[in-house]
Amino acid sequence: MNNNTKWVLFLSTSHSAPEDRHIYDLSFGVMCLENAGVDPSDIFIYIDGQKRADIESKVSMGTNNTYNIRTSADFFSDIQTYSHDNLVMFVTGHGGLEGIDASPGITPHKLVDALKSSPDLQNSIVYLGQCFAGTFNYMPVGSTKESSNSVILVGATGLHPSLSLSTSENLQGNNLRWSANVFLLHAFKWFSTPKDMDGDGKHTIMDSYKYAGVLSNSSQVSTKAQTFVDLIGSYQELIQAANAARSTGTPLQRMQWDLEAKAKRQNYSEACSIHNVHQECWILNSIPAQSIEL
Amino acid sequence: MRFNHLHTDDLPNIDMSIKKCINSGQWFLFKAPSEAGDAVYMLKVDNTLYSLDQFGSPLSEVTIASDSIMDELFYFDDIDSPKSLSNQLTA
Repeated sequence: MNNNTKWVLFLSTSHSAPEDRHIYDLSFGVMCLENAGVDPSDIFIYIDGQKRADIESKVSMGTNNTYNIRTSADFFSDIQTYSHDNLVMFVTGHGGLEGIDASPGITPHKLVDALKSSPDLQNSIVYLGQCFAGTFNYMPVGSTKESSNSVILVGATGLHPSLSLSTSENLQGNNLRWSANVFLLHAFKWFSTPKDMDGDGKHTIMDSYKYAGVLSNSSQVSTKAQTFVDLIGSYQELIQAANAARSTGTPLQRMQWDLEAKAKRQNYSEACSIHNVHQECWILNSIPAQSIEL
Repeated sequence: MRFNHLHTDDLPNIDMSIKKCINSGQWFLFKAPSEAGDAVYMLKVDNTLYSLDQFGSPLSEVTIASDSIMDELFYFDDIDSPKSLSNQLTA
């Protein structure tokens, strides 16, 4: 598949700036793809946001190459001119009722229709890391008389939020810490060091799905054990901090108390998320996924 | 981007809960740019920036005009930090 394959890293947002953690998901991704031997000229990065130099700086954490980072709207025009046979795409960012967060939102139909109408694509594999990625399941993705492009969708989660966990990863000699989309992280990792999960002697897209799913759930279980005790005490800390933030004081004191309350809310929310989010991955169009090899 | 390490005592006026957010990579503590006046550090909380003095006390919420500002990140050496998820082994 490596020959004549276009690799797309995608982050759209309806806000003026994407979250740093989502950019770092793609910084890690570009590093893994380059480590896998993908030619940088076959990697295309689409990230929304007004501060372009800031985005480029963060992406460069994972690479020494310079990429022309375009926007999500550019992706939908570019795809109509793609001349590659294969597409492998990784989507990070937020998701919800409108599909992938963007302005306007990217619905399952919009994404699948864009892939199916691309003139030369024969195989498209899309890894969907956003929350509620299951809204993209059960779509008409198989090859047809009208479109020979066979689309495989791999979702991090069904109709649930997706899970991000704190990690420290070595990006070109620096240990960057961020709250990583855990399924995408493991999917990227598989491409840099593929594992034959089913023992058939091949590294297929199905192997990547199984690997990312198993490792994601394993990551969550081990992180749950670490944060269980934190969760017990963090709610009481949050209540105390919220009460303190309501106290009278100088503007600077109030800012400090407010900041502490925000931190305690963040820690409590993070611990709740680790314990409450149920993430179960899925794959659509699994038959060709069993035979498409790296 | 450069990475520097601090001891929690270096910034006594930052609450431990904030240090935990920084060390886990949820919030980002970085060196204040020259245009930030008296600030020594900047703390990025979602899309809000706080300028901090040398002890970690907040000075103000700020808007920075320049496009790329997180040149030098700080973490704390003496409290828990996340392990690499990508290097974990399955049970």
